[in-house]
Amino acid sequence: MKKKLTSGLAILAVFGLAVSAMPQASAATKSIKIGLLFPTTGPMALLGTDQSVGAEMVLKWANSKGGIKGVPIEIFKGDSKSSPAEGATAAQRLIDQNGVQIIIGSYSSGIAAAIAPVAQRNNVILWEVGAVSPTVNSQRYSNFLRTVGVSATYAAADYDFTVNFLAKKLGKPAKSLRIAIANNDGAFATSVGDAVNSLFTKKGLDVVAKEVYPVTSTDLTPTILKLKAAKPDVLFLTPDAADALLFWQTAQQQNFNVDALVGSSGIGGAGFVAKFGAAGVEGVYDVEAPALATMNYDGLDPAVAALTKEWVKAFAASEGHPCAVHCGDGIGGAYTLVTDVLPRAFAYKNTTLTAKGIIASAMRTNIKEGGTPQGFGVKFSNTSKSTPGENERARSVIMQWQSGSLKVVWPAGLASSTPIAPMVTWDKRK
Amino acid sequence: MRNKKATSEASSILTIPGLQSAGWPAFLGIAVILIGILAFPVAFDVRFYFVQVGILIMFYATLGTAWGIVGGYAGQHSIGQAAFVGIGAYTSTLLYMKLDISPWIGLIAGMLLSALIAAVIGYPLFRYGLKGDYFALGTVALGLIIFEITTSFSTITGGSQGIPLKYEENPLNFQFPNRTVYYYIIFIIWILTVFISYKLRRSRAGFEMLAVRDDEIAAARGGISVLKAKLTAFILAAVISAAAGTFFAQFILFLDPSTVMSLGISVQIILVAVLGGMNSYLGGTLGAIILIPVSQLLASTFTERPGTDIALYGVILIVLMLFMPNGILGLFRNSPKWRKIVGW
Amino acid sequence: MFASVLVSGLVLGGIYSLVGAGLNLIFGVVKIINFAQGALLMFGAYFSYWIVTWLGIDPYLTLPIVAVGMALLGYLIQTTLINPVLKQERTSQLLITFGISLLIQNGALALWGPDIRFVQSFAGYDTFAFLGIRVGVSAAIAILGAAIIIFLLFVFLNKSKMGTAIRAVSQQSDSALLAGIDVKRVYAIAFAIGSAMVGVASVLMIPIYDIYPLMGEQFGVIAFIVVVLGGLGNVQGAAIAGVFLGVTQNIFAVYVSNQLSVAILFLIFLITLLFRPQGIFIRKMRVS
Repeated sequence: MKKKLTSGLAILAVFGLAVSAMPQASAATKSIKIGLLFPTTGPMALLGTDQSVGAEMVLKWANSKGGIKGVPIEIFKGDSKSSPAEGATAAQRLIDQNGVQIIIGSYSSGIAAAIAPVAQRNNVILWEVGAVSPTVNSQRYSNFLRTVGVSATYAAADYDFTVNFLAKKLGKPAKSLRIAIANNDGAFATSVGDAVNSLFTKKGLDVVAKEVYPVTSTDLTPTILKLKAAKPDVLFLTPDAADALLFWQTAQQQNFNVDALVGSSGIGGAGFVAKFGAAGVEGVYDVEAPALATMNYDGLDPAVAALTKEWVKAFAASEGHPCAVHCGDGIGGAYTLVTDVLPRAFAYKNTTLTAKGIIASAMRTNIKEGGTPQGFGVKFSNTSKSTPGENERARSVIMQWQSGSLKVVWPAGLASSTPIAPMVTWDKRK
Repeated sequence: MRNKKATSEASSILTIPGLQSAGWPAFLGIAVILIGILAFPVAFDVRFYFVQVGILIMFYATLGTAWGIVGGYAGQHSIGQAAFVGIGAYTSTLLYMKLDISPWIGLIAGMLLSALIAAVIGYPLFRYGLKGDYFALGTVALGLIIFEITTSFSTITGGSQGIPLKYEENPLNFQFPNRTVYYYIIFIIWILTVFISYKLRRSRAGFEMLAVRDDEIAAARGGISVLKAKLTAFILAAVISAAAGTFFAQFILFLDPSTVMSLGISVQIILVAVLGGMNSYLGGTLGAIILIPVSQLLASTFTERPGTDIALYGVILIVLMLFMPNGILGLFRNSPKWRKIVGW
Repeated sequence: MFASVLVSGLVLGGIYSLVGAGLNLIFGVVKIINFAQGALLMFGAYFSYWIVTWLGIDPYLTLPIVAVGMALLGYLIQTTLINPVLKQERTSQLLITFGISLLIQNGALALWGPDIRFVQSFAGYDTFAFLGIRVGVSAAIAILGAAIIIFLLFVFLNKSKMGTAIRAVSQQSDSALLAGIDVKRVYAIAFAIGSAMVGVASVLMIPIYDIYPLMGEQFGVIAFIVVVLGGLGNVQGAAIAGVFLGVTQNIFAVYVSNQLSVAILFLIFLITLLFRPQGIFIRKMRVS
């Protein structure tokens, strides 16, 4: 009995020692401490890990180039365990225990919303590269900077593509296209599905079905059958990773055909083509930030393009699958931070790096189209009308699975291929 | 005199030796510990992270102690306790966000609503004699139903996207420029909970709960209302959990179903209670003091391979439960001296 | 459309029955709330996946190896982790299974990463179509397999000596002990057979469901609903209950609310627990 008690106390003692041994943050900036805080366990682990690895590669690259103006970056990692509360605690730990000045995160909007106040109160930057919900920074925290586009950019791209391409190609006026919207009830999918629905309804398009299925659903046949009964021409589908595959498999089994399917998330993932093969996914669209592995580099600044190609190669080698959308979010966000914002933040107050300096520097960021690995430019909003710290130039593009790779097809400026419609029916895929 | 033996036995159960009989060393010990806890954030100039770990410890200690009332005293192993944490959190948050009602009032409202829902749900559960594993599974179902409903009715609850809370520094809004205040708020909630649990154990109501737990049929024969005893415990635990829920939402400043009402949180609550020793008013506290730092320590140690820390946490759980199935304080239950203090 | 919905519900129900069959022995006989049920299902799936990857054989051919491997694992879990705390607080058993679940799930994540993996059987994603009603070939195989395995389990429990011992322990473990049955051994065998059936379910399911660390979670919860609805230890009851749940879920999803189609299962579960905790498919409660 005594022994067991002692062992319990020993655990506590170890913790106490660990506490006292924590490194103290240095006043002068000898290194830039950056925390990577992503969901690397739990249901979001799959794509959260991609984002984390993407961002880390860029930070390591910056170090290999001598750091930021000669100051090396120290990288610390945290795991938000796919939970906002765990994320908030992990953020505080990175700040206090590791002394990070910048947190790159968070993949999910809920987690971002929980980390944002922690960052603000500790005067640390939350550099958001993944969350898409527009409400994340509804409290207008000044230390929140987001490089990716919000869900409204998905809706905007969808609308532009529908009206300016699909309607013409399918030979119907946009208003008489039958449009269906489907998403799971998770945070990301709901955010995008609702954004698409409200924009399309507002613009007077004919939304014939809006299906929301539980993210925990074990069978998507009812969803497919309901969609099939609605006879849509175009389907906008926002799933997560696992249900994207189940959806498409069920669509095949139920012989559900639409002229165009615009998916997201798992639809643009590496698993999608791996599972169904090139013929199985031919013609499926995906709306998101561009997938780096298969986008057209012609529109990029040549130096950026060369770097991006390197990272894409390194990512595939270390992770065993191509660098698609989420890896690109991590790379693109971190790239803007280390090449543009941080060097200028230093110039402000030569030797020390402060949150204020970083924000001031970010407000001067003005990257043109083609200046980041993801193709879009960066300019952070700073008006009283919109929420601050949003990248006004972020946007989503329409990609299409063509011959086994996800090609950017819309808008034309970034496109590496021309879109094909209508999509082939299941009986012609075999 | 005739019934001396019988009465002394009955009264020995009712007025089991408490802290008074443990004498001044116990009181001195308690005083030192409490002063230590109160002084911790200010005296040692600790980083807020460690204050936050302290907050998490007291948060789970509160929930574990509350669970000890229904799970330990009354023997009803509820695996849906997070539902009440969620009801508390959502009540105060929605009142605050939609109607601008102070979360302090929301705290009370959440506790009342939680009591009401616990009564409405608990009554049929106990009335129809749901026992043992069936009760446990029933509460699992309950927790999952409330989770799914909260996710589905997104127009009111924000659904899976959750609600970022308005941040306006104002004590009336439960929001403070110095977050150490949260440490003291949860301290008060925690110490009250422990006090209630301690007093309950020595009261008629607590005695009835124990009697029901140990032998329902005998308790009923002895004139105890089994339904009332179980329901009291269930409601009491729900009310305390709701208060903790309001606190947590205000502290994290974000609320979604997974933050406060997932099955994982229900299990974590049981974990701290059972590991510490669920029959003692100190069990939840001791469990939280051990489990929360261990999980934090693991998480900050094994950052290179995600999942390793949680897998090891699982191993620790298995080992602890294997060697201390009655919890840590359960080890003391055979020592008359310690029993007075741990109140097994 | 109704016919399609109904058939899809029957198919899903068949899978639920399959998932419930293994738990019937674990929860029904050993009487522990096994939180690791979903994690075991996932583990069996990875087990099969790795054999398929290494040997390049059809996933269905891994069935015997996975079943035996899972049986051994189940036997080990029961003898080393559950039996020692059999007479202790019920919560300790419950939390041990929770620890096992954390270990298996996150161990898989740490070892094999979060990637979604999949295997294809000879059937691919082919479908049977009849009057516009469509059923995947692998789903049909899963259901056929479920029917066979449940039938075998029924025969085993009712005709073999060990089966009789298991049923005796399931109904009255104390009397069984008095009758000279080694209860702990019976528990270990029940857990082993239960785990083997989980392994069978894994193999039959992976041509339909993809493989990742959390794949089993939802099925782990549903397995409890199946077993309780069918009546603890009642093999036929669980089979019918699974089908009932699958049909209910899909009909509810199409005609009432898609989003609440999972919640409805929990509600049925709760109502069953309240009004017929002995299950809805037997008349009398077997155990007092």
